Amino acid sequence: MTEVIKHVDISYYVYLSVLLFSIGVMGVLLRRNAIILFMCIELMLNSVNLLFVAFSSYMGDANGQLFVFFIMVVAAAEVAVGLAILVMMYRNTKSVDVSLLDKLKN
Amino acid sequence: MIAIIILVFFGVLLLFAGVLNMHKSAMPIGVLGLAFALIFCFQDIDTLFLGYKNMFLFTEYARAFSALLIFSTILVFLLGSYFLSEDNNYKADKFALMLFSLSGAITMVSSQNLLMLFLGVEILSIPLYILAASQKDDLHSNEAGMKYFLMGAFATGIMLFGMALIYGATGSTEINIIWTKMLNGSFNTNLMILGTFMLMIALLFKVGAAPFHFWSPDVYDGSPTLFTAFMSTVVKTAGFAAFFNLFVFCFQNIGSDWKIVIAVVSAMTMFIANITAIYQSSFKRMMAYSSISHAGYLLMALLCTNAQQGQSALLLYLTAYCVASIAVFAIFILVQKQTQRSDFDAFNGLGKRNPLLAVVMTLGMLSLAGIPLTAGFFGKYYLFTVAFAQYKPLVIIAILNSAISIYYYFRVIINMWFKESDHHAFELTNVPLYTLVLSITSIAIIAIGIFPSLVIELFW
Repeated sequence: MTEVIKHVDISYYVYLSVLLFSIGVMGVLLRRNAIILFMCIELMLNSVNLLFVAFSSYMGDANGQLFVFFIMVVAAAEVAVGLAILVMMYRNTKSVDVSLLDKLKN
Repeated sequence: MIAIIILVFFGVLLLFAGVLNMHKSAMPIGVLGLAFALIFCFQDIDTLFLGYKNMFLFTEYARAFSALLIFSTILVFLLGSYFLSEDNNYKADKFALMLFSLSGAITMVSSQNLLMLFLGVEILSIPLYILAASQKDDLHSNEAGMKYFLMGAFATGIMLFGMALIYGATGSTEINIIWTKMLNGSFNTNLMILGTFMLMIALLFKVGAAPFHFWSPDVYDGSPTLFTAFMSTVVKTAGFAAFFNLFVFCFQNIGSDWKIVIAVVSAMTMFIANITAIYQSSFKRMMAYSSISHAGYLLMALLCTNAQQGQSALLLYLTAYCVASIAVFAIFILVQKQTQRSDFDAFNGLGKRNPLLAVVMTLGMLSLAGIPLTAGFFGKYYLFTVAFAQYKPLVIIAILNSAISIYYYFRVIINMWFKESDHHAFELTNVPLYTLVLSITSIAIIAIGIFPSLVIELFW
């Protein structure tokens, strides 16, 4: 499997991850729908996973893949809390638009 | 390490207490667990866990900051039973979440591996998202929770990308190995620089330094006040201890470029926070900006040339900041609960109605402003000395900003002592546990203000 991965140069994996990460960042900054924001954050985390796995198999070091498992677990826990907050917000505002949340500005 | 096991054990115990409807006994159980954990911070029996030293090591440094974190949490817990007195359904769960969050904070300060740093940050943050949003029917609390969650998750993404790049550059996530590779120069420079900066941005996000501070006034303002006190003390302490642990102990050799960035961010944070704080009408929002400005001062500790000196200054400043903040928040909770107001005028005439509270509040404000004979003065003094050797202009900016900050801290003092209460006079009733917290904090403020070496000698 590692041989197959190494047919493609490592820099392409880095470019792909940077691209995915940037799409995620732009999504978080530009979109206002909370569910899409969550998806963009997941995209950011998954681009990191890809980068870790690519580096890990190129260097023949298992630590990076270990890291990926932890990221997946934490991302799941985080999104569970996030969705709970989202449901609570929906009960109060009947909307998932985060731009409605501007009550705290002076 | 044992401290973390005890904290998590007691956290689970509190969850069971919640299931069994024993909400009244939640706070004493929690304080008991914290007291055990605090004792074990001073015991050297961690040889059991030396096998994990690549991940996690309870060094003198970690021990000192853990003790400070646990001490602050005990004080916040003592404030909790009155603050949450109307909450009869989830009280124990909220205390349990604070314990889980604290265990994450201790993981952060004792991490020896980027993996543990990441896990610590997440274990610290995830319970806090819930706590920030814990007033379910209040839209302000919802907003605070949602903003905290989105910003926290976003910062986590950036931090992980930085860690992945550092892993790619050096081939390891262990702080010791990264340090050795940097000494030998056997790493990919481009990836390393990019990774370090992304990691730095994420940590600046977490500690709330400008230009990444925009989430914190809203989050601090919208969260229930008890959890604002927890965030502005425990989270800030853990964030800075981890920041220092990583950057000073590990990236010291990568050159001084990142130090210039930190110096600029520090100056910017101080100016933005102090000037914005002047224009606030809500006391809670003013405290949020005050906490951002303290983050600006604290960043100066990272510029130290001598790590030993830097960590002493950091510990002293954070201790002074934590005790003063908790004293101020304790009084603010009393005022807010009994008058239902959170603006500056709520404090009008407090000096006549309850002189004792007003005296402690004055002491807390003087300490936050850094007036001599209070803990805050020596905190600032040591911090400025550390940065003075190489960054003289920054220290001058910091002194200027301390002068600006006196304006908004003294506004509260003037309201308390020199203004008549404009609404029907109310009696502030004191609560026994609050008296305990206020006496502990005021003794600490004065004792550290006279003998600053007390804190340092306790650990080093």
